[in-house]
Amino acid sequence: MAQSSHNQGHLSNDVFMSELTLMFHNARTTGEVTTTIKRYDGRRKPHPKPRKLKNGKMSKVTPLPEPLEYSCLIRARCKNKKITTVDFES
Amino acid sequence: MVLIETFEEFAKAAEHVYLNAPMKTRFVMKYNHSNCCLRVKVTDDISLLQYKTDSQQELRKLEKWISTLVKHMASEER
Repeated sequence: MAQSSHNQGHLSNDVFMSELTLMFHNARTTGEVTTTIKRYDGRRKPHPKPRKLKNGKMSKVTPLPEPLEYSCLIRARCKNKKITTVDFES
Repeated sequence: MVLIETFEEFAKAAEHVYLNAPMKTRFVMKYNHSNCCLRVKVTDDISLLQYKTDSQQELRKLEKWISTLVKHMASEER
């Protein structure tokens, strides 16, 4: 069965804005557009969690490095389409 | 469902939630054009604040407020 939704990964700000405008346009008669904004510290890996090893001890965990710069993660969703972008203040 | 009546109250409470946990807080806005209703939700996965509006004037206030928050998010401040 073909997937009707597909995640496009991070879009550039311009492409995101045009796609978002299109979403609002398509949702005029029916449906909702959901926009989510949150702070993003640039991490590409999840926070490591201590795990129980075979010898019964907990594994050592090196935490992720302190973020160098923060930005803004913006996601938008309409029906089955999702888009995201990262906004830098510079 | 904590639906806050006035925008000013909502903005103050939401800022408090955000400044307390900037990395965990997210702002969600859901817009339905056929009902002309915008619902705003702010949560840090512990507390939840909601606000609803259909007025353009409130939308302008919201827009200004969000832009100040987004500036903070992208800045170096913790």
